[in-house]
Amino acid sequence: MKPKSDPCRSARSEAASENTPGSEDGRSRTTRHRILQIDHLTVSFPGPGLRRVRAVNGLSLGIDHGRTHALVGESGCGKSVTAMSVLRLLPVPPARYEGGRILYREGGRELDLLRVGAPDLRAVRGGRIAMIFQEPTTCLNPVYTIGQQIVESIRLHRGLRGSSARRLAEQTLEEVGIRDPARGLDAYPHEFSGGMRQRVMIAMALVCEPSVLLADEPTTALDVTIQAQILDLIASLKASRGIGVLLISHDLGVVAGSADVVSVMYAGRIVERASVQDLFSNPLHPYTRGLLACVPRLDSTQDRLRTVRQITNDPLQFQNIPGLGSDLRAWWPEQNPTGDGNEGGTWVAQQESDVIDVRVGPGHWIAAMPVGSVAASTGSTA
Amino acid sequence: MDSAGQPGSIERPARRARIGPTSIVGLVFLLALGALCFGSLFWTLGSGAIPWAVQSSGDPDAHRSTTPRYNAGDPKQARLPPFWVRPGQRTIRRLNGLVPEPQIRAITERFEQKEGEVLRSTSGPVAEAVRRHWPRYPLGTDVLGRDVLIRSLTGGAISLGIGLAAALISVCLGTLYGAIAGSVGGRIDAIMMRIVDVLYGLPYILLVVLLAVAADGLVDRLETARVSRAMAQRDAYAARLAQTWARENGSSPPPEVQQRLDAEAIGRFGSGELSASNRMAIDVIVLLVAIGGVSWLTMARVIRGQVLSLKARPFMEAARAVGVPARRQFVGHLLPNLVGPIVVYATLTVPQAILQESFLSFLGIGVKPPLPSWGNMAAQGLDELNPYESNWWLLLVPCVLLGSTLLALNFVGEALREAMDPKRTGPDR
Repeated sequence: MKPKSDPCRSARSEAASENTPGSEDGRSRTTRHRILQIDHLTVSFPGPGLRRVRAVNGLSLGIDHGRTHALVGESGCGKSVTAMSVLRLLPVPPARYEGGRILYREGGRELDLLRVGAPDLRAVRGGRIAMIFQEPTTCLNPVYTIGQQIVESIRLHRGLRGSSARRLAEQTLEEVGIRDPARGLDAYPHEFSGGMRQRVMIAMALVCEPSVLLADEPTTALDVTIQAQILDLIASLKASRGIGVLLISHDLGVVAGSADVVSVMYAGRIVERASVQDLFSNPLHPYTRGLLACVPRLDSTQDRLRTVRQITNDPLQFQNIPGLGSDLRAWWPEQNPTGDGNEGGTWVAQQESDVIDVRVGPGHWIAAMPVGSVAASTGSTA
Repeated sequence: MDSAGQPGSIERPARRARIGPTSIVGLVFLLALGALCFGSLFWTLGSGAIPWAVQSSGDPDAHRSTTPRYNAGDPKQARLPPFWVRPGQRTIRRLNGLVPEPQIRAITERFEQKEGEVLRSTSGPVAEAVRRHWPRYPLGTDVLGRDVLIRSLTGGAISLGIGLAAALISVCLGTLYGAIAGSVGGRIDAIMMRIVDVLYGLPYILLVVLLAVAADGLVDRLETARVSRAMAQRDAYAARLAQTWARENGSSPPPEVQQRLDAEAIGRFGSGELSASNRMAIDVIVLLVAIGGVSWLTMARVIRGQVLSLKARPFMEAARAVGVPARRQFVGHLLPNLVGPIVVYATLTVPQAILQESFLSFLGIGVKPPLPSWGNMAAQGLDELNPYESNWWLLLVPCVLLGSTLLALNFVGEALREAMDPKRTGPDR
């Protein structure tokens, strides 16, 4: 997987970004197939008092043709805000895009989605970049039939009408595994089960042949057997159509099964990024290790499940990460951003100046900061 | 795609919501009542004989006056019970007295009795013979001898018409206002809803009275303007006629000729005054606007709340994510979801508006007396209830009509709500 193209402050990481870690095919190929590139995206919301909280803070990631990039993290870390920002779906008076670019490449064209005008944006939404949401039960308009809703997006983006649009909708429904698609078109959303509704959402997303699919926790509301089916469906469509997928999840099991590259996110930043095998076999960032340790295992005899905080509360965990020099430690926000009455201003400022992305292995990156600030931050968190 | 284990067949519950017998009965009742009331309007508003009223007096034109049928009545036939009610002794004698002279004379000859005895007889073959010539009013007559059936039909048309029109006004105004407030949001929304709160605080009787007074003033000014304009035109025309006459005859017209010319001018331009029926129509329209203008407030609140909650629903976000333009998001995705609440509140508003109209008319502020309405008929009927002689049908008929109409409207509204809600068709919801 290609690294982020952060203009990193550290010379070391700059040198590292010249490489194409994680991609055996070499750099030229990966860059050619990069469809969506998020650079230094920063999104803020009104916080306590007059301060603004950065839900996404200088985040960079890329989505490649035919591959799945998974974004994992706990609730509130900014995963969904990242996905919504790609299509600029956040309501702008409360939210604010403070910086960064979201580049969408198609043919020779490159669009900065944060700056394009409304007609271009509408064409991209649904047409080039499709999104499926967490709650298939509420994402379909209850007053229209499935067919009408699929046909609407066909009409908006492919200019087909009438029976040809209907035929296409029927084909797509069949493709996502709805039996008897002709009848399904005339059904109302409430007549479908949750899994079938998620299939319909996927069909709606795919019907205009997008090149990127943003899947915002597509399986959260579904039970385990349906989850597997939906993930299989996304995987097979990715393979057959060469769609780049951004899979957002807080479920590491889902990610392990279907992602190619995984980015672990915390407090608006990516703390670790690696290929899926690397991340699960060799997690380096303490937060990632904490997350993995929290996954309940059938073969464990523990009475109580562990929590991430048990690991992240120990400042020693952040030092001496293999691959980082002795002058760097794993990045961690100075203050817990989700805590009440936090002084958001301080940790935001601290991250701004100090955090750097360091390559610690092929395609394996973690967010780090100089040891100088380690003392300060460990002092305040401990 | 592997769909093994996916129960892909679609369970389709019956789309048709079960419609109970009460709502069918209610619908049939409403349709029949509406057809009768509105269909007979031409006849009841027209003038002419009432077929089942027997000419009691020698005057054959008693029922052929220029007054419309709903207002035509013979004071001698006041407070007659419906024909299917067994009358008391006093009423029998009154009814006997209403039988026309020739028939009475024929009976006296046939039974060889005195006319006074015939008129006084309350039982036996003579009374039977007289009874055959009684006027047969289906629902009796009121204090002024007007037919209650005809007045009920006209009153029904007025009540239903005001109810429907007021509901229509309330739906249009309330939906528009609420939808604008809800979708614009922010400060404009706050200001708009505070205006609604203030209007809510005003008692609607006060509002109706104020509107009626204001409308009266406006109509008076309009009439004054019309009268003075007609007068000026009349005078100018008369002067022109006089000039012509003078030119033709070489001298100014003598007084008798001048009078003839004035009459011609008046015939041509009229007095400019509003006719009584125009005034009545204006009164009814004012009442309707007043009721409609009060009942949209609830509608606006409900619709605003719905718009706010719908705006935040994930499918609206999904619509944006699919790239639906803003206007289409509102018209195509938001409005259809509003149809349910709109229909529900409209069906609640119709009976409410009818009830308000009847209430205002009952108090004497609504439909003014010569014009009937179920409300003012009930008010008149209430005066007729007394321990001495109760003409109960005068109160019962409008009240039963009003009550059953309201009940039927509620039943139909219920069925409509069931049918409009797409989610209600599933057995699991």
